[in-house]
Amino acid sequence: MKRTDWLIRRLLRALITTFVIITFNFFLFRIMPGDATANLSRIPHATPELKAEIARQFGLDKSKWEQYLAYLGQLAHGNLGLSFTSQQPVVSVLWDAMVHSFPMVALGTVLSVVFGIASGLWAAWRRGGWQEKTSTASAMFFYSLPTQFLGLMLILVFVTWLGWFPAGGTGNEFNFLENPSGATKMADTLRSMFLPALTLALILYGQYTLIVRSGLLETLGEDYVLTAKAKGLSDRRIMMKHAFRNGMLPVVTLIALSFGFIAAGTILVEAVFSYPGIGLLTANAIKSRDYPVLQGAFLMITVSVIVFNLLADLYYFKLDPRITT
Amino acid sequence: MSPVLEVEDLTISFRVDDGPSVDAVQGVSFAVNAGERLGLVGESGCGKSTTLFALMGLLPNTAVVGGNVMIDGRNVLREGPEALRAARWSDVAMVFQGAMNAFNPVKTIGWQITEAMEVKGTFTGKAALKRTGDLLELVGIPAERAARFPHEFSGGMRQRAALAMALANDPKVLLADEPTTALDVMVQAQILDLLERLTDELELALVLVTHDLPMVTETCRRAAIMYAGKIVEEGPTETLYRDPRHPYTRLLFEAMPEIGEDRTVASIPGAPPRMDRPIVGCSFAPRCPSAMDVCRADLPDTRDVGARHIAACHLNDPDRVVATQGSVT
Amino acid sequence: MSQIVLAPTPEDAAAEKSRRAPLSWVWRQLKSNPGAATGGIVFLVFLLVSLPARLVAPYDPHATFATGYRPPSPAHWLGLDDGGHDMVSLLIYGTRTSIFVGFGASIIAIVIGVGLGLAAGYWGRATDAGISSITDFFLVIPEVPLMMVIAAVWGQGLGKMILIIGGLLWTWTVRVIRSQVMSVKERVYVRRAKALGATDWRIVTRHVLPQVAPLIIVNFVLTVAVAVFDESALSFLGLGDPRAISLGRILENADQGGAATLGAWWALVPAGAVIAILILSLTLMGQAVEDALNPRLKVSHLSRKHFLLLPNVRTGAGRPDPTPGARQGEILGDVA
Repeated sequence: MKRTDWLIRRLLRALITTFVIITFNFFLFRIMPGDATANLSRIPHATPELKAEIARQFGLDKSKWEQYLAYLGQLAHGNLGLSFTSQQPVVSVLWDAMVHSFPMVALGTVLSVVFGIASGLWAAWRRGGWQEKTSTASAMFFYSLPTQFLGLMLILVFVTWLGWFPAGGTGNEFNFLENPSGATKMADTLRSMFLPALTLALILYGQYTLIVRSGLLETLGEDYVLTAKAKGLSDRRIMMKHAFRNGMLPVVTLIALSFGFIAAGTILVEAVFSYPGIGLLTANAIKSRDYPVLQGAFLMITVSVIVFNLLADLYYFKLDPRITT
Repeated sequence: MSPVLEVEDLTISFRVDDGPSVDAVQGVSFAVNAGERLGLVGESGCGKSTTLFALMGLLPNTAVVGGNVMIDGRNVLREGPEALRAARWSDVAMVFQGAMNAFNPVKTIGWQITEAMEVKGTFTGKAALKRTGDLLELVGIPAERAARFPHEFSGGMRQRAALAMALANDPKVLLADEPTTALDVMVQAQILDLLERLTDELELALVLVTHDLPMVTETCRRAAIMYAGKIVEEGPTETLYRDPRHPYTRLLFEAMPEIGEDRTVASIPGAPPRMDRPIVGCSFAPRCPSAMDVCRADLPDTRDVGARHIAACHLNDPDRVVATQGSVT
Repeated sequence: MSQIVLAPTPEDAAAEKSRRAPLSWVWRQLKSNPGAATGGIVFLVFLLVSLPARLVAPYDPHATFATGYRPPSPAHWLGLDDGGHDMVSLLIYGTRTSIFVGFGASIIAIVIGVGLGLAAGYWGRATDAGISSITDFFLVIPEVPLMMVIAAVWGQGLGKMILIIGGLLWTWTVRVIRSQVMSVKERVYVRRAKALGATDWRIVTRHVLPQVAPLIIVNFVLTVAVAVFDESALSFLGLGDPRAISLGRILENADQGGAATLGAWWALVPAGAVIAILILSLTLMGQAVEDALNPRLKVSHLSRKHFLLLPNVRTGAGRPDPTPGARQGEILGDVA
């Protein structure tokens, strides 16, 4: 009973946070210096009818409060306005972008988590040995690299100097010239996804290594680990059956807190590689001051982070029997 | 009948990063027979817990160890790491101080007790589960509680569960490190009762480490008094009480308050010596009311002073010229 | 009604040591850790070289020497960027700006963070509830995208960037300071001071703050590292100050000028390397002190090395032989 209370509270918090973000998002773009209320309708080359329609939909000539309500209403209908640059509906632009980003980010994150946990484990297992030193040194090195710099370096080395990978995009260009088989398309997609995902993975793994290492070390100093040793359990068994599970608990929370960093990394990585995902969309929207798209992208990114945080909470809940209010 | 546990000349030092080593245990020897309970008594920092940890090879990598530990005839420390690991929990088991934290918080008590058996292969599967239940009942915990997590048990129950876990593989030697600290008096009495009963029934050799002398007089037939890393006196508890042969022992017993007694409770002034400096002469000399010149110059030998009774004090030296500031009592 | 103070935790013990003289304790930690010491020296070198930029830089960073990228040469050790500017000079000015932004933003973040953390930890209950919920809220939101959006809307400029970055980096600090303050509040000497009628202000400044000082220092150092990174991220998307030369803008320029695809590594590698070195040296220093504050990390029951077993010197009758072939000091035993 008490345990479900905790769950409900977390869910509530996520919902409230989302709502606050939506509100903040709204007000941020309406309180801009210069143009007051009309930014949303500042679509270049738009016909007067289109402008009028937008004005009506978003109530742009009414009070801020009414505009806010109108905005919420439109949001509920999935209408986020039109892009300044392309005049496409923001929602469909966002959707396409997310579909591209998701596999790339997933690949990068999974790689970084797996490798981070493995190297953190290795470092904690052999504390004081060369393994620990190498592991932490490497982690710190990659952790200190600016994301965009690593991306550019990978391009320099693997695209320009070695020519192993294509220069950018997702290889969708092929669709117009030939009709490649599904496998070729898949291979091409993976090829162009790989470097961006690798960049993300390398940047993230260092942080995870350090977190896993210190989480495990703290666990390994606990009394019950000494008891386990006294019971004659092997090092491996102690690590895998006892320390790991407990050491992972704070790690799950801390990994969840890095979702924000993943979001930032995605923007930078996609900008560097011109990868057509939500990161590139955001970067371009910033450069061209395409506010509707920027507003929508920011909302999308933030809500994703909130959702993943909630999922992490659920996972933590499953792992730790001690959770009560 | 040969003793089931024999400790011979055990020395333990700890290397320190920037400074001299700490000589925590300096030549400790004692033996315990099956079914016998030995109390290892001393102030904090005298090395008694460290001694206990050494018996299971549970010392950190900063430790330097000398001497021998024989359990059931096997020299456990010197047969290699695998043999040591095999001996742990099958031949010798331990109940730790503050068993509150001895259990992994995310696994059930039953799982952890069963693990102790399955890992050693003494019991597996259904038989192990049944025995887990039996062990819990043995220490006075209902068998169904095996499915609960440690945080659902009270401190006293956790200590009893720790005892049950220690007995899982029928060890020959049981080590108890201050098993009743942080427990209230009633629970303390229960735990001690349990220890007495089980060591009798199962013919265990018990080494009970504590600073609590009254506990030892109640529970243990033999006691070893430790001071500054050495055993200064060892013998039947009754004898130590009636006829102590070391001033420290005498003072310890005098410091025990008794109900109905009408005297001021004595305490021993001063503090134990630092263990990172070599000590000249007897380590107790600075605090000893009977200290003589020879005490400050020479280390006293450990002598037989009675039936299975030894003491390390110059006052027991028969060759010494007896001046009137003579005997211990 | 007095409470029995339980035995101090290892953290308490470590904190006691650092209480006496927090700054010198921090200094000792840094000196004794080789990684941190190296980091400190390196950072200091960069700081000292870049501070008097006009004196140190070989050329005016705005001066052009050619129409495009030129590889390194004796006259220009790191070549020219796509606008023909000397890379070395750009780097020196850039480092100064980036460090400046890092420190500026970090100061703001620490002031806010410590202030809120103190308030939440010390006064507890309602204050704490309020501050904690705000902090938790900010923790979930991705900072850098938020910074980007605010900068895109508000405008560019060094001052604005410092405010934006500093205004969003305080969340981690609040949490850490708050929990430390809460534990310090329970310590004997604080309760004693309160009982004696000391004002809150006096208690906070004389008792709480010294205890929390090392933690503040750690957080400051680590926040500067993050701020330097954030500056580079913002500048990369064109949100940096167009009139200022920062390391982030140099990278942005390299990207815009196609340095990576053209192979003009000199326009790219040094700037990124400097950022990485700055962040790394700061992180090493911060981590060293952080590890020292958390003594639990020192004990691990599983470790690579085992305890040392001395061979038996004498073999009396009936005693087992010492392990054959054992030499003095040979490692024989396995342990915790």
